[in-house]
Amino acid sequence: MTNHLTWETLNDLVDGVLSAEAKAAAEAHAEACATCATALAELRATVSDARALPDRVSPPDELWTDIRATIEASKVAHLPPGTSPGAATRGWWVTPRQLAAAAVVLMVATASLTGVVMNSRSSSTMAARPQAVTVAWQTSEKAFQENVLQLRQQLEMLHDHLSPGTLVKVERALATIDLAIAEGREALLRDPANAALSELLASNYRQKIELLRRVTQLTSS
Amino acid sequence: MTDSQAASATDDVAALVALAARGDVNAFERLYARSAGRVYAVCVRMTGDPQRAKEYTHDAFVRAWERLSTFRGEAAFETWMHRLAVNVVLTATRGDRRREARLVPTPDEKMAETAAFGRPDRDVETRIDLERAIAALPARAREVFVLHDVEGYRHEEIADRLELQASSVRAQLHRARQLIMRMLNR
Repeated sequence: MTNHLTWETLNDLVDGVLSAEAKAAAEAHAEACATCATALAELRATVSDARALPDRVSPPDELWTDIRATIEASKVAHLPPGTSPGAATRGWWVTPRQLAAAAVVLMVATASLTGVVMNSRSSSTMAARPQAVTVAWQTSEKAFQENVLQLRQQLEMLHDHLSPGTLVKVERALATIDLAIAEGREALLRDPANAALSELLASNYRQKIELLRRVTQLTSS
Repeated sequence: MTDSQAASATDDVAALVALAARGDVNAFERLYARSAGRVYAVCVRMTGDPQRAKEYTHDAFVRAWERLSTFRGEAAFETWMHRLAVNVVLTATRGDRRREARLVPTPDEKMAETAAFGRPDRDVETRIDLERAIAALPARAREVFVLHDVEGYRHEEIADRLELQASSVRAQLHRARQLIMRMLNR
């Protein structure tokens, strides 16, 4: 028999996307043509095997430990209601050069954003639960400072492996973040229920931890 | 007994999600234990690379942690995680493709062609062979094949997620099946 079913037709037949008429014609051909019947059976078997693959594959044992470490590093900023936990995901910076460049961008962005949010405080957010937020942030800052201290100690040990230029830029970025944190903290104390300020302060905390974490990772690798 | 232990004991996913959303990492670990295999499976099959699959699984769970407050329970947690993981992989591979805009075949494309025409394996019906064949597919064909034939997505849904025409999805799927069948000597 000539004019075998095309590969596209065989696939569309298996996927059930042919019109009723085309489907009937294809099936009639396959019944009469051993070549197409074999091709159709093999294609169906392949699709069937794929659908039967196990839907779970065991991940590496250490994966949860890595995820937990990232979460714990970001958890310090998880306090104000409605604020998401850390945005500290991998792949933020890749090389020391990119790290230094990103640090410069960070300096500008952090300072600018703090100014914008501090100037746009809404009087409608001034009322609710100032005490609860303050207590929450106190708890948060303690955990944050412990994280920073650990990372600072690690970075200190790797100090000699960083180029002077990168080190200067990183320290400058850290100083800018610290300034933004101080300003944001002061503003939050004056306006504890301001969700935008809370989010910004949380973001600054995360940036500092992530910056330290990236520098230590890159330097030690 | 802690809240998270109690939630785990009662097999209450909703309770674990609620606890995790309030910052309970132990509760989140239990959610991870339930869904990590499913998430890692789709990541490793879509990338064909265990190391990248590990990174994307990591990212998916960190993002899930960040977004737990948005999980409303309309879908099962595992389904939500699965879709989140697919998004992570597609976003990352989209970025890779833009960076690696190319005119020549990538290594995995070459490998697929070589494997397709080169060696007639004997024990080709095993699941491991199929997994290897999937891993050896060109990236785009692999994504389409995994989403359609393994995960059960429809053509239109894949086209939407991959920002492709439905006709391109079909073409990639047909190509993937053809390469796999050749690799499996069918």
